[in-house]
Amino acid sequence: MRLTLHIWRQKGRSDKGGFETHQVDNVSEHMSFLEMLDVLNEGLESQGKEPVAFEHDCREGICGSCGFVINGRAHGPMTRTTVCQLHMRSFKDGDDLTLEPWRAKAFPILRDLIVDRSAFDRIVQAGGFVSTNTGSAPEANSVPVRRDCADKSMDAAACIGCGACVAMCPNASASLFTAAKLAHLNLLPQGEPERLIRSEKMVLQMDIEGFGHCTNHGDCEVVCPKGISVTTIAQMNRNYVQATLLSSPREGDSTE
Amino acid sequence: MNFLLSFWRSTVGTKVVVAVTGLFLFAFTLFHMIGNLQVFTGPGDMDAYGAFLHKPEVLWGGRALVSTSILLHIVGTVKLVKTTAAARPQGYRKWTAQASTFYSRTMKFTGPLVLVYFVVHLLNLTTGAEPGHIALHPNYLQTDGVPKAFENLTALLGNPLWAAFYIVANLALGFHLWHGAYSMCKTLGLSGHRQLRLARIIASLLTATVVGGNIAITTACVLHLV
Ligand code: FES
Repeated sequence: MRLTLHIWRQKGRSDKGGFETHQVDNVSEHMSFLEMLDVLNEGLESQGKEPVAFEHDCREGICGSCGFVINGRAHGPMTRTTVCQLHMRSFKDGDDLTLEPWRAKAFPILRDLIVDRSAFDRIVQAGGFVSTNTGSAPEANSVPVRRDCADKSMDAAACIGCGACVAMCPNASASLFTAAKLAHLNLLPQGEPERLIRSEKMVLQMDIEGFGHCTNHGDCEVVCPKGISVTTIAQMNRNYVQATLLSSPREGDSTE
Repeated sequence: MNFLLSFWRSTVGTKVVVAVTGLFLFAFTLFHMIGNLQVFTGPGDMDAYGAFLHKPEVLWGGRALVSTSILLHIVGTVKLVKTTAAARPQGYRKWTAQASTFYSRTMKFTGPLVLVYFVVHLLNLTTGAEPGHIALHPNYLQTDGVPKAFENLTALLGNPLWAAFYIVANLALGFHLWHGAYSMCKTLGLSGHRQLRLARIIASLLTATVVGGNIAITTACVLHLV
């Protein structure tokens, strides 16, 4: 098939950037979206032009490196699918596609479709961990975990930090990401001792990074390749309120 | 006090303040509408109700609560809208809504409309009773500072232009309440799927009650049925 692509090109952080239109011929429906871009780039390089920069690593939908907006939807038209796992059979001959990077102040564009997502790393650094005494590995099953908590925690832990939630949110809010990272640890007994301080610090960091706030639109949940539920955001709010308003001086703060 | 300040400074904290004040204001619109249904039972009930609301403690207590809530609701929202406007300096050329609705995306527009409605409503039916008598009303009547609630209401809404204004204003209010009521449940931490489905149903029913009731009152007045 033959496609027309309108791609955002930007040389660096300070460049203004703009759209460029390219044609790609002989696209096979078996190609992944990124393979299709590889073909485009080969063509560009053979003409001595700059290839389109996009981020990728595993190409298996598990690392969270890839991602851009295709025709107004983060990661393209398939639900629960990253662009590296999106195949060209989702498109048809003659399609006109607009490719844009994630757009958020907290995600500065580095080049073309690549954005700097280190704001996410700093949110995790603020509290997305469990403090334990080092030593030999503890006995398995020594800490019993309730089945429903284990399930919900695993669901939240599926977050790969790709940034699609921020990209799709009309407010550029990182609430779904932060809430997933919080739910992952807060629901487990191992994460319980630091639940409140963790919630407080990660929400604070999310604000510092300059993300917007959540107005419960729900666009994030739909495009999340891992199907993280917006209900985690309500849990985050609850923990945050408890941490800031309802808990007296926090004695158990082992992170201080 | 420090913890209150840092709570307010965070986006989640501000959201909670906006949600709690929103919840109170929703309840206020509901009871306000229910009280006004007495227009259907005649001038006696309506005027007695008006006189009760003009008891100083009820009047000033209510005014203090409502105006504080409105103030916090607006200040919080403006703060959040500013943060969010800064969060995406450059928008998309193409962006397709996935789950967000017309109602959820127009909250910041229906909000100011509701405020305009509120101010006009005060000028219509409240300020006439205050010293100075500023009233946006065809013929405002009162005795000893207590307005003649029934006559004032029916005279105002008997005018088709004012009735049209009230109906349009109530639709804007409805859009705002509908997303607002559901959204604040989530903001305040309601997270179960079943609870949320129930919340959506209750939010829809209550919104329909408020808007439906107000429009019924307006229609009855403009058609001179009461
Ligand atoms: S490249 Fe790893 S998730 Fe797409």
